Amino acid sequence: MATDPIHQFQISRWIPIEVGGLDFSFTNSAAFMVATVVGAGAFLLLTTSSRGLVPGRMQSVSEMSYEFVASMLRDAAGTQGMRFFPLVFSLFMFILTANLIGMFPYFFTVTSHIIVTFALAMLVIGTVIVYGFMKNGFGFLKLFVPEGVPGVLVPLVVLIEIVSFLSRPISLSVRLFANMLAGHITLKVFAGFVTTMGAMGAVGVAGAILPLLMTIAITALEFLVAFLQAYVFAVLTCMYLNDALHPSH
Amino acid sequence: MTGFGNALRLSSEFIAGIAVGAALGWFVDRFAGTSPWGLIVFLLLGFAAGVLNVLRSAGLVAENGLRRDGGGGRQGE
Amino acid sequence: MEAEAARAIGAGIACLGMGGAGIGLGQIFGNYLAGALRNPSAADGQFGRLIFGFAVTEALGIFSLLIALLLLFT
Repeated sequence: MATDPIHQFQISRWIPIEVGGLDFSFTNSAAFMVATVVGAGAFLLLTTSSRGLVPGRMQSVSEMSYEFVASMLRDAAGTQGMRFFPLVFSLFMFILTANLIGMFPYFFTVTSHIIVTFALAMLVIGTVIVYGFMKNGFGFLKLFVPEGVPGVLVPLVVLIEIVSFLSRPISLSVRLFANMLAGHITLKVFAGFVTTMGAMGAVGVAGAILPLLMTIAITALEFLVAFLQAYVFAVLTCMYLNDALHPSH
Repeated sequence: MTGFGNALRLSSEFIAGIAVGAALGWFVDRFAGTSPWGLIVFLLLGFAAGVLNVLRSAGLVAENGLRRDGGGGRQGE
Repeated sequence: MEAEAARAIGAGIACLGMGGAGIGLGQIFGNYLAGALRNPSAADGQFGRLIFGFAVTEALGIFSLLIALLLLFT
């Protein structure tokens, strides 16, 4: 059904591959992930290949995105945090490009599936935990014991902090997923109004102008959301990495 | 940040806390056989963690004394 | 009536309590907004109390959610 707003999120197998009973098929989701990586990589490579001392228009876009993520990371985690720059920059560019590619009509949005965003969030939290224990040893556990808490309350506060820490990947992934899903469904529903009203004769066509304007406005809003969600994801990644670097409160 | 984005962010922080608390409690009950106390205790802990998450992302509880992301709660006014 | 059906109905009734929490939250945020529009300069300072009221009110909603979850999953 063409007007079903959920239809755009369906995963279809393009090249079925099965290894040992496990499904490794090359799906449309995988294809658009590849497209995202290739697109982001090619953009950065091609625009910076001229290495102009005075950057051209496209080169300055690349340099701006670099500077943007670098200053964000430096603000949140200090100069020590710059060793995580490749991770944060890749995450930012991947999510941003995936969101923007999803804005094309008939294209699949990779980040509108919770398993993709959850995998990205677990990557971040896994890095935080592994690096935190590697660098600080068991001092990393001081993250869960805030200072200035009366002695009786410490076990309670530690439990609360642990649950709060565990809820981070959930909220990180659900936020990105819900924003992209809700935005695309809204867009599709309003665009569906245009076609259904357009089929109702002259009055319908006149009335369809309103949802059409709405669709245009929501499209603009969605571009903003696509950027903002990539930004929020990267900022929160920086803050969690900061916890790994400096666990004591 | 837009008001809508801010609201979604705060509510997702809160709900994530409760969801994780409930899930943890359910698993504790399942494997330790302490039904129903694990669910009760961990759901309430999850609620507290959710409120803590909201306070953190609104910038009311300073985390490590560093700058907060995006302005948080100060943005809407 | 089967026990399973009675449980599901009980869980549904328990969820009505969250409606009360919803009404309370609406009152809190509505009054905060009304006060903030009258005196925007004082609004920032009261944000902490807003969250406090939110937490205390929502706790009662969580209790009824707890009862519903207990009925369903134990």
